Amino acid sequence: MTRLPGSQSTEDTVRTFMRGRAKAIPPELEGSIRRAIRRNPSRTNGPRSWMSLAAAVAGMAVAAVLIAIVVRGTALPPDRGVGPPGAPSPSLESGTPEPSSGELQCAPPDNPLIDREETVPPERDEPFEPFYQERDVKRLNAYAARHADEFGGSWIDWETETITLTFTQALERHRAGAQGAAPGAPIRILRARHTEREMRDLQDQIAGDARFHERLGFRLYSAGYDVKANIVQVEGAACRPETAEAAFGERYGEQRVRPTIYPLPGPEPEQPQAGDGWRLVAELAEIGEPYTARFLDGQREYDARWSELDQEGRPPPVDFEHEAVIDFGAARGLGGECGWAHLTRVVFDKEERLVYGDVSHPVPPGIICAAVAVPQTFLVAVDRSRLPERPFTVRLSQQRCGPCTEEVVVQSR
Amino acid sequence: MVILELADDVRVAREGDADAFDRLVSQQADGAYRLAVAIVGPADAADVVQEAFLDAWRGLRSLREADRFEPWLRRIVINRCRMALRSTRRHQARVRAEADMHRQEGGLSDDFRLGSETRASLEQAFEALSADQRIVLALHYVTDLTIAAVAVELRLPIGTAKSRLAAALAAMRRALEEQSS
Repeated sequence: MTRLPGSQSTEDTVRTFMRGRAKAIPPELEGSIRRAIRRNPSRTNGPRSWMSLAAAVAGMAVAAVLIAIVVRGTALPPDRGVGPPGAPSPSLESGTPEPSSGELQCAPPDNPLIDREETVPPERDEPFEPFYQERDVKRLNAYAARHADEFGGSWIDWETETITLTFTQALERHRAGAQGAAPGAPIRILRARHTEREMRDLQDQIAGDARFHERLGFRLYSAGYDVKANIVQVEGAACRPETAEAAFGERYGEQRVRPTIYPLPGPEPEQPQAGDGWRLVAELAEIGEPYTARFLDGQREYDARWSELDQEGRPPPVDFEHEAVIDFGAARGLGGECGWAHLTRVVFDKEERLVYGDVSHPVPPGIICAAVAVPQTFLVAVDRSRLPERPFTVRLSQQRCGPCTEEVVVQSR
Repeated sequence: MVILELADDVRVAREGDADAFDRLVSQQADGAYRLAVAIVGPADAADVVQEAFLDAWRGLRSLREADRFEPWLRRIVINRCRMALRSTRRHQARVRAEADMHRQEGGLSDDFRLGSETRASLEQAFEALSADQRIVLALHYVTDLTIAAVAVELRLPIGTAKSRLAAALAAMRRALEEQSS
């Protein structure tokens, strides 16, 4: 390991530096957090507007970039693309695909952050020590630069513990050349279909191909050379992802570019204000308890719930002689990535003695949902004549999932 | 003992008890801030931590395993750090703000024994790291998680965690070598 003046190793120096960065919390911040909690933003009306759509789109952009960040190896040359190296490629002679890393998916609603199967981290670890020498890396970089017309890329491969270099031809000659440049270094030589120079040029071409993007209705998130896959990875979003992906393959060559294109959300639909046998009396953003359902049978319960939801004044009028109120405690992801939920209908199933809501999301699945569910409450006045015979069940959705807070059994009066 | 008390507070706070959540803030805010400031720097760290605690407060009902609060909160902090780092424009503004803050801070903290030139070189190198690399560095050297534990926390193969650490260290090493030459 490289030793620095003062006999500190790089790792020691970086550790010291990182601990120096990690300063103690400013005294006023803790109080500020407490005040924010007391103000309880989860119990204030959040705006429902195009801002939320903008947040959703921004969230998608981040999602795509984060999804793109799947580091499979450490590219030796600086990676010029937004996205780092990705999956291994069939175009290389060998290499075992690693499990994908850094996946970001919508978490299950009942326990968004923690895998119950998650193992307890081991208490001890071996000291970190690279298997390679920096000087060998530099020498091999210099060798590669001298053969740029055949060089496909290089990376530190932690699975095979080799410095791996790829070339488009003359592998034996390059194996001998590389070993001559860095004697004793753990070198692996593989075949690449394309040179790095070609891929970098293509990456730049794609990044600058604004007219093509515009024609496709495509929004570019990242374009980067995936050195291990020997391909340019493109991430972005379009209204018709399949069409856009096909267009990318056709324009740049399917063996040279791998587009991953996510759907752009359409305009956020309007929340219906009424439907067959129901009408919306209040929609409360970031208020309530996610994954719950309540049945409010009379004015007193309704007033109490209104107050519990921190709403001021009298609740919207409900004719409890002919109506009852259902409180659907829906949820959305945090930060706008998942958009606002919409209650599209209320279903009265007399046969099953079940009343449930149909809650939809404007953003399709597969886009990152951040970790924490944010409540979104729909208070719905329902026509009593449409309710099943008691006892019946009121549920957040047709299918049960997770704990039983999402349904309530309404008993006989 | 501490873990049990923490878990108890989590359970009570989950029912909406703000006093119990205050106690969680007392116990966890410093660690959360140290992690955040190591990743995003002082210009954004306060916002990151405040938003992370609000996220936790809003989402606490969904945390079933009360004794997992600390890693759960850490994940939220990391998510918030990623959000803070995602915009190039904000990133550039933050770099400028951090440089200003470092100038204003003047003296070095007790455990920060590096010379100012070395620190400046490392700061510059650190700013060029990806969010993933920063997070691995912070979890390993600030939160003192082993690389295996970092991999578990970030749900990565250990080889990936190691390669991120190696890449980050290599970048820092290059900065140090350039500074000393």
